Amino acid sequence: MTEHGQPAVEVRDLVKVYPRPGGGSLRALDGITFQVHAGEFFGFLGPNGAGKTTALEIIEGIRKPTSGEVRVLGIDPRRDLDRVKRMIGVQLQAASYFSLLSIEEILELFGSFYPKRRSPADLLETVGLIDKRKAYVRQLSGGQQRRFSVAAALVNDPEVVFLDEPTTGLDPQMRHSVWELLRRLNRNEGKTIVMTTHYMEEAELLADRVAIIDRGRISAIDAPRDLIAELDGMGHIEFATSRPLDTSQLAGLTGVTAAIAKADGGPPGALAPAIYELAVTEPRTAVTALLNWSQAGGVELRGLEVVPGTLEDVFLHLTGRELRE
Amino acid sequence: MTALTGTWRLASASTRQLLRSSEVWATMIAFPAALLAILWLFSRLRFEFGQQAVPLIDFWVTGLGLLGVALGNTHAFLATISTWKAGGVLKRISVTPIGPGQLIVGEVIPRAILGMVTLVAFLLAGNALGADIRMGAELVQALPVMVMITFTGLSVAFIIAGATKTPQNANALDTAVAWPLYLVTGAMFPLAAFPAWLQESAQFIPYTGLIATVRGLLLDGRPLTDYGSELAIGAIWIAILLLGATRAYRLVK
Repeated sequence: MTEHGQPAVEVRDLVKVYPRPGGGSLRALDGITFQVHAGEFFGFLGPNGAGKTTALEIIEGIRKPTSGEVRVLGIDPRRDLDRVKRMIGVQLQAASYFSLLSIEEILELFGSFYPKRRSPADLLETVGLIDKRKAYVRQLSGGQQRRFSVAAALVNDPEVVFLDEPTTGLDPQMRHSVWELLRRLNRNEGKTIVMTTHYMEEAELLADRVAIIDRGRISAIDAPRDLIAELDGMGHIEFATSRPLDTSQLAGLTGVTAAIAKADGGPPGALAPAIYELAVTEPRTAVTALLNWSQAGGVELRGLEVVPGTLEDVFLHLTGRELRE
Repeated sequence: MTALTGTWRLASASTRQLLRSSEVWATMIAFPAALLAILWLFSRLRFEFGQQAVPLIDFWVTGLGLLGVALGNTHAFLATISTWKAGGVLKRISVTPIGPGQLIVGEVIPRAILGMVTLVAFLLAGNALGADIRMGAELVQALPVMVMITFTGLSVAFIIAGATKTPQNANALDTAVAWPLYLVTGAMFPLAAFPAWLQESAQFIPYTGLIATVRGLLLDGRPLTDYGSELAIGAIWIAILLLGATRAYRLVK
């Protein structure tokens, strides 16, 4: 809650329907409800097309909802969008900047749009780009560009920062540098952060609470460790085989709740193995059932591994689908 | 206060970008220079139609110079703003308190000033090549009309950028709009040489009356007050086009 008692972000029964070209409609958001507390790091976890960006853009005031209510720091963006814009920072999934201004000049320019602002030098220091102050955006590496876009979202010293997939497309090293920055902003500077991601490790590592969203609906909201704890010992089993298997048979084994093929092994005669993942409630029972089934069917299992529960398993358990699908 | 500061900062940032842009240098220096070179080649020719004869260089330095520089500016500007639209610059601006109107004003002002500077330089260079253009008090009177021509072109650029989805489509539409203007606004050929119906229709094209006004001021030394109807048509067009620009050029679709 903020000092006035209201949540930083409050969303109630939010619905967004897009018309489809050629008729019909797409329900991108199907009545989502959630709150983000002040100072919280809140993650929206879901696959591409789940409705994360649509939800974020409605909260930011870029898009209009079909129905439902949104409050940002107690303000309705549809009624007083300018006030909301002055109080929030936004990092869009795909945005570019003026190509012939240095990054310091861009921050100076964007800062001039707000009554309250942070100095470009301070921002560049915060995101570790002070040495690049005279560079154009195109001269920065992918990770530096993301860090710069986070700096641009902070020019007005916002109370709430919205980040839309801040590390998508980055290599692991660059991703870690952005994670470090986001954690500092939340913990040291007290910023409320609302972030979308389809990387479960990102949500698990950074977010205080995670909303799992799929096909426009929120399936669960809780702290990552509590969501995983709710799996109650569930985890998953991974293994490879030299030939494709029927996943419906695997899903029917004792202790197995879902089965997916992570790799199908390619056409007959191909050397690539088929790789399977089974969501399990009781790993020991499931392993026994799997081994018995493979022996009976003459299926050779390779690299059998039992993995403890992760957010990936939570997603699979809740939606029956893999996060990366 | 902040809105004004934001617009002013956009205008000064835009000026900085203009001075760093190779495309702008090409359209505002290389293109007018090429026009002047062509004019020099044709400088001994005269237009003859009816009872009148006009030295081609006088006619083209004023008409072609005005329209060419204005449309060159439009073209460079359109390339920039349609790329901003496609690349997400506008979407990024849309999450700040800056509105489309402020963005348009902030971007148009430096372009209009640059257009004026280029035009005056073009006219001076035309005189150096043998044209007989009045550059004294008449030029001061002509400056607001030149600003109107530039504003018309920039408003059209915003509308085209708003109406098209990609920079390539914007470029194609811009070319389709621009080339007939050279023919039927009196910029390249005297309207008196065309059929009566075309002469009358052409008066309602945004640029026609404004080009005739600048020519009257700079070639014949006539006063601005002689061109009331031409200026009124030009002003109405600018109002319509600017309104269309703020409607068509939304920051986010």
